[in-house]
Amino acid sequence: MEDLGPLFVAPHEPDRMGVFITILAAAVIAVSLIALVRGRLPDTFSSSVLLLLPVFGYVLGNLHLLEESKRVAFCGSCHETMSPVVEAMRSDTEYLSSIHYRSGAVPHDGACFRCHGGYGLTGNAEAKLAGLRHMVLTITGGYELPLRKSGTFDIESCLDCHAQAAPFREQETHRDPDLQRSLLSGEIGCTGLCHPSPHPPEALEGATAWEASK
Amino acid sequence: MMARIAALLVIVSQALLIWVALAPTGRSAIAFSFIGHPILIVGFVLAFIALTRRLRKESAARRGTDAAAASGSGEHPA
Repeated sequence: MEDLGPLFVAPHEPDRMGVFITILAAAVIAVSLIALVRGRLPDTFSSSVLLLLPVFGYVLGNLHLLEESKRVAFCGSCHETMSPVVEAMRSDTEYLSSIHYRSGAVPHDGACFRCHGGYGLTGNAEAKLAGLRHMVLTITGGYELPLRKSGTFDIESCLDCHAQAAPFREQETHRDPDLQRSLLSGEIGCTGLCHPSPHPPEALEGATAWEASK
Repeated sequence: MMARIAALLVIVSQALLIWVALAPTGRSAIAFSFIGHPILIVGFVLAFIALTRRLRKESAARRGTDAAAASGSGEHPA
């Protein structure tokens, strides 16, 4: 991305949690190395700490991963499936993800999660479970291209921002009771008939097809 | 031997933890979730067993020393 000066750099908090976990894990490794060389555990107190610290580290690691997995960089790190989608989102196209991303309507660092995370606490939990399922599918190669959204898209993710927005409320079509019923029942979605698709179809075909389509 | 294996497993699990802490990506998350956790659980159980055995041995040795001291000082009923 073009460097326009410090005003155009989004504020970024240093990853203190990651550093803390690293120091903790390094300390455990150092003590474990001593145990490995000596062939016996250190004294009772140290052993008890040695038993608890790795578990504590993993608790922190899981919390850290839950937070970090909301980042676009994390989603885009799965090369074959996700990198074309992220690249397309950052490009200037007429697709919804690109429009939202480039206008700053979604946070740049967490754009994927903002729309796919669902609404509220249950939405977050469902998104995390879906992420776990995606990891299993990545390992087993159990996914098919082109990628498809499983189930219907949670329209509450859209309404979370748009429901109270003046341009959305002023739009006559949105006030139609039949349309509102159809949308809220999941019969129809926002995209397709009225609004453009969220991602270009070529981006859902995988990295190889995406590169070929350029 | 058991302590050595436990230490080795804990080292591997912590190395995976460092990887995911410093570079959270799909690969590191998969390794951390599906390899790190089982390794840590096995390492924890082995370390726990090794520690319990050692404590039991130390306790038995202490009892033996106490009994020997007691018999040496003539306090033993026999």
